[in-house]
Amino acid sequence: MITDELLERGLGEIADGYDVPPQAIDDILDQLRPADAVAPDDTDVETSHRRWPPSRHTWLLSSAAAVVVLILVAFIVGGGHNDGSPSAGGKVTNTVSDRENAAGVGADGSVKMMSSSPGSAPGGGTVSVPAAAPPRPAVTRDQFASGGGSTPSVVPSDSLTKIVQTGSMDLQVDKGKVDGAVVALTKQARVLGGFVASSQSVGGDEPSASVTLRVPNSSFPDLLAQARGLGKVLSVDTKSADVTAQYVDLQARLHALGLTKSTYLNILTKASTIGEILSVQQRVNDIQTQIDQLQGQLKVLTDQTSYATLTVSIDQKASIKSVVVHHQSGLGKAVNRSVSRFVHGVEAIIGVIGPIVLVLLLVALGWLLAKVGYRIVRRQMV
Amino acid sequence: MDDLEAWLDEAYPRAYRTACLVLRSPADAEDAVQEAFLRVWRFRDAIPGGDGRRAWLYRVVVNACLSRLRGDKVWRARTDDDVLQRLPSQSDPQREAEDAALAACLGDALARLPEHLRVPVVLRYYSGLPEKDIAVAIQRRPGTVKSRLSEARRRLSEDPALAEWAGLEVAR
Repeated sequence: MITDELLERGLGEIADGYDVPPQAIDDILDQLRPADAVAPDDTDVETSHRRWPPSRHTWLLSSAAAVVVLILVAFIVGGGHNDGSPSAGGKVTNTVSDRENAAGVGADGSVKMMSSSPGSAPGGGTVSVPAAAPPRPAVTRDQFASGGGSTPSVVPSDSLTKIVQTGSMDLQVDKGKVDGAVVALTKQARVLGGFVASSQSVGGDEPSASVTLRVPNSSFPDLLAQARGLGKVLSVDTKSADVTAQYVDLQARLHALGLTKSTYLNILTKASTIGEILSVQQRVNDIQTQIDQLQGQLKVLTDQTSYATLTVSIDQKASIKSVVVHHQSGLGKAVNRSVSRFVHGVEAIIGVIGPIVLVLLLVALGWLLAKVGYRIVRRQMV
Repeated sequence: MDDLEAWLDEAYPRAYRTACLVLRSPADAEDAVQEAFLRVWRFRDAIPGGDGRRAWLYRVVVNACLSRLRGDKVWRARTDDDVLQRLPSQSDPQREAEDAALAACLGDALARLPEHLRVPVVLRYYSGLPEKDIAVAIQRRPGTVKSRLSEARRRLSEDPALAEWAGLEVAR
């Protein structure tokens, strides 16, 4: 094995054979000095030699600026969409409680079970009600607020618009009047041109009933108004869904399938062999099956858009025997309000944290890219 | 700035000869070192302090040499190296003859080494860089430098031009 000493000796010998050009380093230094001579001061030299590659701070600032611009563009582009618009979603939910009408809806949008009856809740105190009528989130209150039969917010703008209307109502009637309310609702549905889709009754000490009524879409507000008159409305929940697109799509597909079927039938008349006939017939059968399925869907959709559905749950006042009534002082209200606002504050903070984390992530990514880019540029330059 | 000039002035001869050993062309070596020194000047703010300064300088020099080497393919093309004819004379005629023969054999053997082995050998045994500085200069891990030096020594020992010298060393 060759030794280190031999290598050092040999390489030194070879290297010594190369005469160092005496003026070379001076020439190099002369090339370097003019830059200082031309520069008025050190600051300008620093600036000139720092133009490229940029300093790390420049990279960071550039990356941060790029990220901010990207975020702004994303917000601007994203801000053009209005998802909350009823017309965009084609679906509107109206939830209203009589208690909201009497005392307003809480800041959190939940429906409080508060009785306005002087007998059951003296002094207008808050009444806790068992799970008979679970609170539902209130979305809008412009409809049904007056208790009258105002129309839902989504109204067919023309004959082509197909709207599916559904609703549910929690009704409280006087003791022993549950059956009477069911009868009255049934009668009312028939008067309006509708029918009872289903009905359930529970007897005993605390009788209750649930009736599902179907009435023509145009009569839905009237039915709601009539139902309100039968007792105390604990809550109302109505929904309207625009299914026009689905309806038109079904019709178009049916039309297309009809044309295809006609074509195959035409081919069938020209088929000469049994194999051809069987093959084409199979195609026709398949298409017919699809047509039947689509027609079924269209029929269901037509039925849903023609008749609105209202489910009424009826209880009698005796069912809220166990309610606990407690008066809330001004201090208690203030505490509740404070807690509510605290929760809202926390929610707001959490809501803001998301975008901040996103921005931080993007900045970190930009910083990383800038660092890598800077190193690559430096490596290439050096 | 004066310090930098002084440092470059002092480092020039060895850097130049290192480049000569890598490139085997004084003219190319001069150009490469000039280019490297200009880069050093340009990026003088990035020069590390302490012991890392020399490694950094050789990194720039080696990069300049490799750029030239890979661009011009000068190494393989040069077989008429006249360095041996320009070896300085020594007082001991026998030693002079021995060194000249060693330089000739080593030069031939070095020429047959691939670039990735030749550069560490030059940096280690001529420029005197420790392995960690060679790692900085060629931008590889110290372990890689170690294995490359070992491989280079093995190949040089097995090279027909140096086999005799290796045997002599063993005999001594």
